[in-house]
Amino acid sequence: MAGSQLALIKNLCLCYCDNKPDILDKTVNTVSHLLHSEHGNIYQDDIRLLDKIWKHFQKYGRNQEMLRFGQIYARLNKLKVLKVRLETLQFLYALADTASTEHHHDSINRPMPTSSASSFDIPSFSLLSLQQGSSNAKENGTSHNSSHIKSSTSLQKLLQYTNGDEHSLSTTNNHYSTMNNTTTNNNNNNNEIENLSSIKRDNDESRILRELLFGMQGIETPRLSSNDTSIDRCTRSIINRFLECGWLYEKIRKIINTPTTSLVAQAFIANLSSELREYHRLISVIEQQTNVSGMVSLKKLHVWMCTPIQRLKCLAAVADTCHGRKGGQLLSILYMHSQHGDPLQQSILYPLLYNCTIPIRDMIVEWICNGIINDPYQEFFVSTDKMVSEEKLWYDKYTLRVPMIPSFLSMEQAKKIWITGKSINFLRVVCKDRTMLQIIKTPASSQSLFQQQRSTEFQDMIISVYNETTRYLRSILDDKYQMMDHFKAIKRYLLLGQGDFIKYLMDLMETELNKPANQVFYHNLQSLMDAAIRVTNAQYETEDIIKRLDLRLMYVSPSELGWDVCCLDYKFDGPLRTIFTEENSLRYMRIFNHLWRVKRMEYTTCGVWKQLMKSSRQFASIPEISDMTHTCFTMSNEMTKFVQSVNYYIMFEVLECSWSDLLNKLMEAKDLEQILEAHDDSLLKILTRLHLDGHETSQDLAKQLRCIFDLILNFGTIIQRLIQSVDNELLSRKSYEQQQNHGTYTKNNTETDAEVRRFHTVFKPQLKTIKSELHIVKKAFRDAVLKFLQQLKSHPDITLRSLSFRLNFNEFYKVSYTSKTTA
Amino acid sequence: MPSEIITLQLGQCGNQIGMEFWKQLCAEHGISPEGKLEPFAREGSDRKDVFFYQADDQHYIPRAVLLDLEPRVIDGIMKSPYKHLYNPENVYISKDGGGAGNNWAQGYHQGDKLTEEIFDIIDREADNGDSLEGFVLCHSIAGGTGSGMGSNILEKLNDRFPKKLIQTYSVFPMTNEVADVVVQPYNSVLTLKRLTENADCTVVLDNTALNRIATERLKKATPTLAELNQLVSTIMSGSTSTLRYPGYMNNDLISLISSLIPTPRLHFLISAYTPLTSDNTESEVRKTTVLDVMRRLLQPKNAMVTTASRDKNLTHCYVSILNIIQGEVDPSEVHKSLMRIRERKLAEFIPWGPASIQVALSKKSPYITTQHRVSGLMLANHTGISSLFDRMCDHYDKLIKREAFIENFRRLPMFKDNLDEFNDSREVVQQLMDEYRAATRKDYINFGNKQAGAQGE
Repeated sequence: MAGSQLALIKNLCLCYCDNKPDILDKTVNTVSHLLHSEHGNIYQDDIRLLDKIWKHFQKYGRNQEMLRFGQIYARLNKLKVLKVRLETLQFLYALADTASTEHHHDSINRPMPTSSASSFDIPSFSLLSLQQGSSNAKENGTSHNSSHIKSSTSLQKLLQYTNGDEHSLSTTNNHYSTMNNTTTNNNNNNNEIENLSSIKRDNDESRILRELLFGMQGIETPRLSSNDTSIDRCTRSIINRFLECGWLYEKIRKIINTPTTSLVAQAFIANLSSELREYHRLISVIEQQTNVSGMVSLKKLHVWMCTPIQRLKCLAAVADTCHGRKGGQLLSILYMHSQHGDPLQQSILYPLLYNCTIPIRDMIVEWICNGIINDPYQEFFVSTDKMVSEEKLWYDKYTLRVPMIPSFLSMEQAKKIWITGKSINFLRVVCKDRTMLQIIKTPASSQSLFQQQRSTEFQDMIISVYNETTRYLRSILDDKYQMMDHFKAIKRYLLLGQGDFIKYLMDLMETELNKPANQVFYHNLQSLMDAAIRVTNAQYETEDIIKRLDLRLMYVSPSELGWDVCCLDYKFDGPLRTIFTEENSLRYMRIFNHLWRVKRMEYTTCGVWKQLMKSSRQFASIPEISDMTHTCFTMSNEMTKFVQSVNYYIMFEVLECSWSDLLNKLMEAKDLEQILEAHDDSLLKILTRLHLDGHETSQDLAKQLRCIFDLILNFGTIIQRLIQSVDNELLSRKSYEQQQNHGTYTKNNTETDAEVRRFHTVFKPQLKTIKSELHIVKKAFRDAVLKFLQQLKSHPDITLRSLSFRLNFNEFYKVSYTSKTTA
Repeated sequence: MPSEIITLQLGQCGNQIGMEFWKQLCAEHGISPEGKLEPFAREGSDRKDVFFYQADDQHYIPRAVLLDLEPRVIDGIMKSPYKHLYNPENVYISKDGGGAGNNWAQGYHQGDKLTEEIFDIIDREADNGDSLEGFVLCHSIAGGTGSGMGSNILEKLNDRFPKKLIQTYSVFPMTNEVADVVVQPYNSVLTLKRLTENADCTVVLDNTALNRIATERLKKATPTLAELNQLVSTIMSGSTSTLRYPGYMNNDLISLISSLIPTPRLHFLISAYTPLTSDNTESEVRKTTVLDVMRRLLQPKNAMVTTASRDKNLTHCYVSILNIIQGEVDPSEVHKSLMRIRERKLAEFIPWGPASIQVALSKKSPYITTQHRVSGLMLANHTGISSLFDRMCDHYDKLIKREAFIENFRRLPMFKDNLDEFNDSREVVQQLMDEYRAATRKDYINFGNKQAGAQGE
């Protein structure tokens, strides 16, 4: 019994291995091992085992094979030839199991999945495809083709075997016809009629088949043309179906033959070609079969070609949509097609996608590791412009080609990739840092790009490289280039945070800046600034920062004063130039100019206040003017408060708020892009809140504020004139009193007359003009402030609107406004 | 160095609070009692040059002039660990050493006699700086030296330095109890005239309120003088913090006070500070947000001056408020706090001109650790201060009616012939009170008119 079992096994294996002795031994070994395996499941009855086998078929979606298996099994059962039925089933099941696991394992390990190689197999021979898969696994790529040939011979054998038994063939045929045509077709009835014309039909069919095989390869077949009346309608429809194959084949071939300039497209075409090769192989197998008469019929062909046609259709559709596309676009299309419920389509597209992604994957790895773009055909989603200078490297040299981003990558990932490579280039070119960051040991596999829901390998790779690179760049910027120190220096100098320095600078420059702009010279101011640095706390700054501090005179128009054109500047070089670009420098200058102007107003109002306070005793000695001086005091108070409120607003709502914002963002910022964004945001915020953003209401506000400032300056000069004339008056009175005390009584009357005359002709008219001027300024100031407040209310920026809250905290202006309108 | 400030400490009280002030400044700037920079201190973040200058050996020397007519307090300072801090040339004790005997006239007279010696010191000190901004005078208005000599120096300072600001920290005496100095009302009124006419800004430190705060807030039954002086030095260092830590705003005295003082005479500022804790009390768990600080500053119980919110049918109001907030502050909190204060009408403002709560931020000294995240100081110009003057005048009127204790004054040149100076001073104080009351009304804007009218009549 044991001997016969062994012989049986050998026989079976021989058949399985195509008489190839070297595999035979191995197979026999495996088989006997399987059979004698203690751990193998021992099944009590065949029903349970059959159930398992059904499930196995279902698992791999081979329902047709399952049906066929069932039929064969039933026949075997009926014939009662096979004694060891249960064992055989067990064996077959074990074989299927090992083959499938091996096959499965295979597809993971090997970069090029073999499923595509066997894609055009005739579906009914599941054993064959399994065997092929396992033998492929054992053999190397060089013997790839030979194994196909072998498999085709084994197919032949199997076909012969099934054909040997007439009954089985007819039942199979019968079965297929019932499967394909829902109408129950009684073959036995037809047999008699068919017998008469069988020879003719056979001739016809073999002719048609031959023609068809050409037709299926896209070769024109005039004899199958539609006007051939000898072909009945039923055959015609089948023929047309096959000719569709030809059409699809031709379509794909044409696309393959179009020359392309794209790595991804090349990969795509290579894949298509191999698919077509497989198709050719199928055709050649069928062609071989046709040589044996009766082996191939149109109906058989119809069954066999069922999946291949679907496959061709799918490929042709994909090829059609992908035609002319390249790079990420092509990948996006492939990916779109692969997101399909049909497992067949998924399995077709998987290798395509896999192979086509490889060039892009390599580009990504090269880019994020070395910052190099190796992209001869412009299909990577980062492009470079070689003309861009170092300074603009970060901004303009590398751009993201959004259409080229494969749709399986998120925008965020694409941006991270983009920034990582940019950071490397920035480090190399701008920071002159040649440190190589070795982060990636093994690049992520190609499928992890488009199967991100299954594996995070690619995401992990991007993130780790991104994190490492940006952290390194940040450390270079922070430690080597002291980025934060420069931000702080900007705040201290360009945004007037170093108050003592600014005040002293203003004190020193005042006379110089009061000159017309075209008489203000850089070298004069430069030395004044140096003096201010020496004396104030600016002296404790690092040398680097002091060296960078500079002045800049803006454009000169004849009507402007030195105040309008003089700006502090802060010089940047190297990588800092990327953060503090020329554009940003200009923005800072505009901000500085505005802040400087408001500061100047503060000093003016403080100066006026001090003059008034210090002259109050003189004023008190001329009681006639107490009315006027009181007005001066209240006006000065109003102006002082206005300017102070504007300044407090600037300090809190504009500078401090945006600064603390900026600091937080800079703390969080990982990459340079985020740093730039934070900086840009804060600058824009400052500009908007200082109504320098060019908005229409903002311009109106700026104009109105200018007008208010002019009135304040005007008020200052009036006060000076007032103090001057009061001083003169007091001097004259004093000398008169002295004369009165020392002088004789002789000219008493005339002197008194002269004194009175002087009072009336000199002091009084002066007072009168000053008084009227004060009145005008007062009214103009009130009106201007009211208008300013109203304009603020309509400004779109909510923070700027809050300025009016500060300016009118006790609602003084609103009250006076309403009373004015009601009056 | 720009914007230097010279501190003049006068009399017993002035020198004591001055002493505390310098202790505080030294601690905040990391300067040792010998004037050396502590090893942990770093240059650059603060400005020491406003209040100190450096000797040849890099020692920091306060820009302070210590003056007294009797040696007791200054001797005490000279025996303390801080004895080497001051420039010995700046310490002047009258050679008689007899003091002023709590007599204003005596102090004033002695001040007259010592003018040359005192102004030698002041002139030298003034020449020492690049651009002197002004003087800060610490004194009490009740005693003899601080009030009398102080008045004399105020007048002379104004003549000799007509362009310099003069700020005083003036300690006002207790008015609710029997005074320990009987002629205190005389001294006060006479000094108040000089403060009104010759000072640009007076920070009023009301002893009544200081005592009340010390007892209530610090939970002390009988606060010691040192503790009261500690309070004063907190105010003084707080109000000068923006000058010492440069920022966007308030880098000089003038920008600090110009918006607080609308007209020459309305320059008496009240102050408040929060949070106040002393060493022996367990620190209360308190929330110190900006709003809390600002709200507490507006509460009368935290003010260093006892003022009435209403008197004689008028509601007193704020002419101006400046809050100096120290510590870690989210700048956006400030605006929200201001909104809340306006919504709830926590502060009443003048009706005749724009007024608001100005908020300045100042750095905290990195060398002193406090348990509070935020602390706040308020300097405010409040019309209610007139009630303090009112109380003082009441006491004065009672005394002068009887011409009580007037003999000591008559002995001195100023009052030899008549008591006009008394009446004159009383008149000035009355005008001051009237002006403050007028400032609560909308027609204050025409106050000059009335004055002119009154003068004309």
